Amino acid sequence: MSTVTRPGRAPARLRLGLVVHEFGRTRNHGGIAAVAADLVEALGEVPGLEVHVVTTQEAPEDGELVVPANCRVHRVRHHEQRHFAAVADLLDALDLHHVEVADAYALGVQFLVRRELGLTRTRPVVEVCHHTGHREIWEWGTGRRGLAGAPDHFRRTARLEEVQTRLADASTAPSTFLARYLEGRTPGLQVGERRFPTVDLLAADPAEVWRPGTATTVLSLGRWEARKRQEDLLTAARAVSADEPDLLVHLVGNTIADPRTGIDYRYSCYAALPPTARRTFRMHEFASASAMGRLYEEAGWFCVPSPRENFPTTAVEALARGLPVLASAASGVADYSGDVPEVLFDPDVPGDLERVLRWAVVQGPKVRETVWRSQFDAARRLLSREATATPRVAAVERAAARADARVAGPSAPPAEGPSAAGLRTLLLLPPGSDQPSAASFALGWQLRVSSIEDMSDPALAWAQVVVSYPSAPGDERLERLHTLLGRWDLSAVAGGAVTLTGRDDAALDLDDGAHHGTVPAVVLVPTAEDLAEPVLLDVVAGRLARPGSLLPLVDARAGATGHSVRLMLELRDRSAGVREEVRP
Amino acid sequence: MSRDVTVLVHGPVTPFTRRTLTDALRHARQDRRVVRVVLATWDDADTDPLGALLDEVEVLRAPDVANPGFANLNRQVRLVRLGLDAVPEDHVVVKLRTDQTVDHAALLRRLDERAARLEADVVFTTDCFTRTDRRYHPSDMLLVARRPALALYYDLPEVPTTHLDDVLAVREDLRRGAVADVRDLHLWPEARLFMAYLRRRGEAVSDTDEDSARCLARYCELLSASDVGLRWEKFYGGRLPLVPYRFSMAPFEGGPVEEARCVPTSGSPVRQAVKDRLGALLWGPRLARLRA
Repeated sequence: MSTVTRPGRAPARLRLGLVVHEFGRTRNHGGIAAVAADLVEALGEVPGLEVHVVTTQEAPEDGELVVPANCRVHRVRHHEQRHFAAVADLLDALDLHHVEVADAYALGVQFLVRRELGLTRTRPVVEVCHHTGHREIWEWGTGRRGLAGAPDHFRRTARLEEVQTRLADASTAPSTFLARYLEGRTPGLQVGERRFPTVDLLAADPAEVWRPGTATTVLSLGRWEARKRQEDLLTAARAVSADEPDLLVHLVGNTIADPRTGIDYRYSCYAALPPTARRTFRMHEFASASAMGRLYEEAGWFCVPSPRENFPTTAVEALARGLPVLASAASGVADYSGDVPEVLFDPDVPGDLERVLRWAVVQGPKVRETVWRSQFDAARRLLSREATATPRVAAVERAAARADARVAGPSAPPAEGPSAAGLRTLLLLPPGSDQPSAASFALGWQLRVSSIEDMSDPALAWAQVVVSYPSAPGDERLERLHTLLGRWDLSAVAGGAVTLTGRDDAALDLDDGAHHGTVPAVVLVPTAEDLAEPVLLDVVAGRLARPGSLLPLVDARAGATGHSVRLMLELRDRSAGVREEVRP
Repeated sequence: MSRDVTVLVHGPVTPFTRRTLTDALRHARQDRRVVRVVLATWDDADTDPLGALLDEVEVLRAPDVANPGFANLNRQVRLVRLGLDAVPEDHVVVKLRTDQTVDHAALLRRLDERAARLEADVVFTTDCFTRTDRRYHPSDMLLVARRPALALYYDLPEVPTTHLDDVLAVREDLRRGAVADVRDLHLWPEARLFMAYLRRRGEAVSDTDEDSARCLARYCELLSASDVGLRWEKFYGGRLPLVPYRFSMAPFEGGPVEEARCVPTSGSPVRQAVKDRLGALLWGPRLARLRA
């Protein structure tokens, strides 16, 4: 698929960046890809605005993506961790006023770390528009709390997402549910609501798209994934089919492994069905638009079985095709189902999806049309261009005004947003790991924890961490690293956190121009569990400092093969209160 | 054979379709018996690349099916029936896929040689995918028959289960031991079409190797794919008249590897032995990249 920019570009006064891992309606695209394209379309008419889409998605070959004249799509063609550097380089080069990061892999993290370290040329306001993160994917899919037992890539990406959130200037989410969920999980974090338009919905003529369908035919569309809990729909439909033998559930979507078992999730669900129950279900891979059109026409309901779900795009697309939607009360569907709460199931009440399904399949066309119309109208209001594009333009205008003020003088106000606490983040690595760290992203080095020595007291869970890195004295980057690591001693404070305070060491006492002599930083100490993965040290400039030197930086020296910095860390669970206190 | 011939090409438009139609139209200009070339394709098929060919081809379109069925059986049935509906009752139909072509002159020569069989409503096919290791499995790629016979062959209701339904069911039934031999399932379009056809012709299908061979001999006439120059885009880009003859496949997860072998049509044992050897080389793993 090639990308074509329509002619007619005007000079840009405002520059918005949109970071997404996928973009446009392509084969097997995810929800964010579609709504990001719709957002760009909605922003296409804004005078003086330039939109830069930064994506790591390769250009697919199945068609042509046409974007408005004020839009540029930048495809970063690296892989794995090199994405981060390439995205950071690009964001800096584009000289943006406001960046919205709405991807699934924390692609903005390196830019944010660099910005925090003063290594970027530009300082745009960065907003993380949250989607279902890797932590949520794991927790919702397994029903467990925390990342214990999660595959490495889950843990790593979840950590990066956490770092990205902390370093960003603002957090938003496309649904009320996700916004409140994230706030509930991370004390002190404030999450605004930032929705996406859906062009199909806005363009749909209600008189044209409504189809009565068949009440006992239910369509569900989406990747088979443990967190989406299609197994719950299978269970509910089996129970309902005992009384409604005509019930037919079409499940459309590709599949991935169940993280709990490593087995293909769709097959696991199917294998749990007794053969006699198979007749109730039709399984489809993602189908052509034409074939999907037939399925939408035949169905009387669309069902999103996920107990917890962010937006979801598939539900809005179903509304645009004349289908009313059944979904969890803990999902974005609840945002436009206020007048028809009977379509929402309570994810925490066992069997509630069955109750809703049982109600749905006996409803005649009149009730279904009423439900659909209510959801359709509410969603159109919520996801209109005005409701979705206008606030973004206002945010870019505010950011541009601040950028102008910064140029004009030193008294510019700080960046807005709940996360603007001056965070510091290091991401170190366990022994033997080859994964890069956030610090190495920033510094261009591979930092490794070369040893973690358990100090053998499980109650205190001390560990001695030696960070080594190849370099030579005098290297400017080395000075940066010393600034980062060496300016502080570690000092104990309450709640499992320690502070880093300035340290009288000529070799390390380097001034980065921003933090010398200022308030000490706070380290949110990783849990013992974290040491099995990249260690997260959130270094937060704040008012928690309580002087002390319980855990001093014990060593920093040059060796034949490089430098090492020895840190001693207290390994305890993070205190929930710490972040709350340091947030403004 | 004195009947008029319609070439019915069905399927999505692929880069190879231009070649398929060009070959058919070229032969139509040379042999007055070929009076029509019909392309049955989907509503959303992009036929622009076919350019001026469209002036000489009758294009029929249909919306995609909601359920393509196992190995696209429902799609195949829909488009072939769409095409057959436009063919006069007394025509002979050469049914071809959009990604294949044939030496039409050679094909019609073979039909001339066996005109009596054609008149007896025998369905002509090739040895390409007419399998010896599956029962009731004549190839459904290139089919030639009088229009009424072919209409009966494709008089099959839409199968309700999806490809994925069948794949998942077979995988699970194999795991549970509920299926001893996947050959007994007759899921493949070839078998579903042929067995339904046999029943409509009044045959009591006994599902044995002997009955399968008997029905194939009675109701089908097998042509050697190489004799009629069958080419397939999927293999060597259709540049060479080479189609699979011996190969391995494992279509079902947890199922057996099938050592597929097509029905011999070469006549002499020596020629067949050469074909066997050549087949093993051409369709073996060593040439996989070259084939694609």
